[in-house]
Amino acid sequence: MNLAIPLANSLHRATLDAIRRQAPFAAMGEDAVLWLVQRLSVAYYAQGEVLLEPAEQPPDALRIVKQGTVDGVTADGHSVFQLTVGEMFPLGALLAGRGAANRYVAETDTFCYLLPAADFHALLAMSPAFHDFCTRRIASLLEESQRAVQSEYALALDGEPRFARPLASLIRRAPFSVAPDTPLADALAGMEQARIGSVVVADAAGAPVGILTLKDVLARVTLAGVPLATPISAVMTPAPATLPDDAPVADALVLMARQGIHHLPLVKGGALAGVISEKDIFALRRLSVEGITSALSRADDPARLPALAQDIGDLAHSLLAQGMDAENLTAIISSLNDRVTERIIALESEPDRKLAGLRWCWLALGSEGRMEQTLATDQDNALIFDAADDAQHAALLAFAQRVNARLDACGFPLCKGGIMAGNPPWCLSAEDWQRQFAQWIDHGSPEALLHASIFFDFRPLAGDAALALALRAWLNRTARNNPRFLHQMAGNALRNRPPLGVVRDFVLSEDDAHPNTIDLKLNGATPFVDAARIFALAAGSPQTNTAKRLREAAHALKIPDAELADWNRAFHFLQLLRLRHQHGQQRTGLPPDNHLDPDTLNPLDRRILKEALRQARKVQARLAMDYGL
Amino acid sequence: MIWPFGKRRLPALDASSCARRAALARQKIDLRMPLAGLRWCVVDVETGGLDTVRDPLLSIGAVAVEQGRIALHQSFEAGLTQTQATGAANILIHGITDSEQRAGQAPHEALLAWLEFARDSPRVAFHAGFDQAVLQREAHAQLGLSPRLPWFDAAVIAPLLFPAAAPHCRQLDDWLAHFGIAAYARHGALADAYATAELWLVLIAAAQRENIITAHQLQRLTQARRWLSVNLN
Repeated sequence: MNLAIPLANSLHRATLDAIRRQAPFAAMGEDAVLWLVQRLSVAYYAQGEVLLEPAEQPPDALRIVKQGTVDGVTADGHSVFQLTVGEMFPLGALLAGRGAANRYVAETDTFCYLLPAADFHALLAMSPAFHDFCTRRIASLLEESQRAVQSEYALALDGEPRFARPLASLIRRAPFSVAPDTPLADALAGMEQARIGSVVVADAAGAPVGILTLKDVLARVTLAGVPLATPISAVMTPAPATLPDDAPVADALVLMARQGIHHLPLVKGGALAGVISEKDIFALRRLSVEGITSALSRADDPARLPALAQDIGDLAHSLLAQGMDAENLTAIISSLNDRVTERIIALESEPDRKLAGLRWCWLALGSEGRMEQTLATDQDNALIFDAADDAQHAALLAFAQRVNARLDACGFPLCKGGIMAGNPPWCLSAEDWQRQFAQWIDHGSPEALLHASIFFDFRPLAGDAALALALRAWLNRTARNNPRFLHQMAGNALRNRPPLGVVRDFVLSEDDAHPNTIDLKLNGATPFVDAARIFALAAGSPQTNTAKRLREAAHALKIPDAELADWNRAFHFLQLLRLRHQHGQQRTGLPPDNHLDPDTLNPLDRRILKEALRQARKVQARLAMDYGL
Repeated sequence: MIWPFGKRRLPALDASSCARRAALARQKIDLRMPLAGLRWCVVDVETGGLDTVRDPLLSIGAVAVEQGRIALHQSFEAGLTQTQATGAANILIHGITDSEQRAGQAPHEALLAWLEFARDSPRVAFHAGFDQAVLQREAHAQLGLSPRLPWFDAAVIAPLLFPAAAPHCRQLDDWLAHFGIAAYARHGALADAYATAELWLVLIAAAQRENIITAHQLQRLTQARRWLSVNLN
């Protein structure tokens, strides 16, 4: 039967447009999506109907939710996740060629697109974007979200005059370009000599026809083993994105963010006028890590410090806007906050004669101890000293209280729970700290476990670090030899479940103060932090940073790299959401917190949030397995 | 069944078109098949007005439902060339402009393609009487064919299966809204046919829940209802 179907009728076009609003189809070539569309069929499932049963055989088709909501239900009958418009299942089973592990039930009346399994595999082979998405699901969702954020912020910067300047004003040197037949050896030597990160390939008329960056060299030349006599045209990125040199800086920012490029050739009258890099653009910003660090080290007047601490917040906002990832950003915030604290400690301790000759160490606890501070951060600190008589003890306490007050003035509010060095229970000798830690480990009461979760992330910040290191060594030995304690910590950590919902996507807070929100810190980041702490204590690791703890533990626990990478991406996405949420609050003059209404997220970020919480469950499942819980 | 005698002169067909027309003579549809096992052809037409006798047929859109699913590659869209453009008033409704009206396929070509697409399949439409009348009129006028094939009217079947929704659902849009089905474009033949096909999936599922297993049973149900409404009102 010859159906005489035109290549793409209005139904195919409309389906193409609808499906391309969802990741990963947005990032795929139109040809590939059209190929997909012409192989789809549409099925309807009434509410309560089962779409897919757990089976021995691999599933016959990929399902993409077109309309409605589908619940994933485990073998023991727990509804564990929800899939909404644009989400695909059962990806894992299709990829691995095994039967589906879960039962899928229509939560509401649902329409799904079905793609036959053979076509799914053909599409994987055909479209790198689709392949990437399916095999590195959370990773590629994150990349898309990151790009969206960068463009958004870049657009929001329109009002700033420095981003309205023409790009030509950023050109710092005459353009360096080579002809397409230039051997790689010559082109690379030229780059080295000019100390530049990219080379433009230009035709006889001077128009850019390609670009090669140092990053490309690593993948396409060095690792690929391409001989250096090869003409550069064989490995360059052809037809690079360019902008006219009179375009505003903001255009370059958007283009770089959208295309994920770091070097941009500028053209004037069709010919190369210069190349700008991302660095050139971000150098426009007044604030920098180096600038604040050196201002802090020069500040002799404690009264100047609050203004500098304010600069840290502004810098964090700007780095966030530039799309810096959460792992680096929280590390930068923490290390700059360290500098502020160090400076305050120096200014308060150096002139204090009563402290002369005493060995003491200032300990950072909690998120600061883990180098994971966000924009909303109160003080968590303690003091350890070698030995002191009563007068000396009183002097140490008075010093610590002055530091706490100064930190408060710099925007680090006093800890509501009183966990501060200036509080007598937390200003102890090394011997008393061991006694205190031992008591928590032996006791295992909820209060002891809570304290352990804050104090056991301690890190030396100023003073005599040897005191802290000795305490860490003692703690690791003691905790390791006390499986009952680790078991209790694990049980406690597992009581905090990620709020993935059965009825809706998320379980929202019923707390009157923050209705319809989820607590990104307590229910999002904390499961990772708690699990990482237990893994580290069990392994006797001195690490306090969550990502680093997980990396070390993964090695010891034989967790596959891909799984570990997903854990860390998920954790850092949650941290990034916290930062973005707090940034938004601070911009509108609200005190920053961690209570996010998921309805305020765009659909992509909502999906990543769900995926991140699913990863939190996986980490907890691993913990539960290790401790037989 | 074929009605071989045209009252008017038929357009002259070339040899291959004649062969295609002849191949459409015998069609088999077994209405005792299960609802989900049948191939359904869901169709919508756009015309130059609401007069099934005089107003010109402008376009045909259709999708096939097979094994209870709409296969997107089995979709049909044809515009018919017009000897003269219809009035401006209808352009406002259909959005088919003068130049588009003139741009389509030759009518006999479009009709052949449509009948081949719908071959061996019961037809489904919303307010099917209208689509049926116009399509049969044109098949007769252009090809001299008068196939007698079963038609199912979603506008009649939907209220039978969802009586609670019936009082506030009259038009296709009402039923689409009731089931949350979004049409991708309004008043395009293929867009409406596709939306009707999604509605048809819902109706088939509902019929099966009511133990209506075969197309024949569904046909009897609508006939009984028609008898009741004729004889009781």
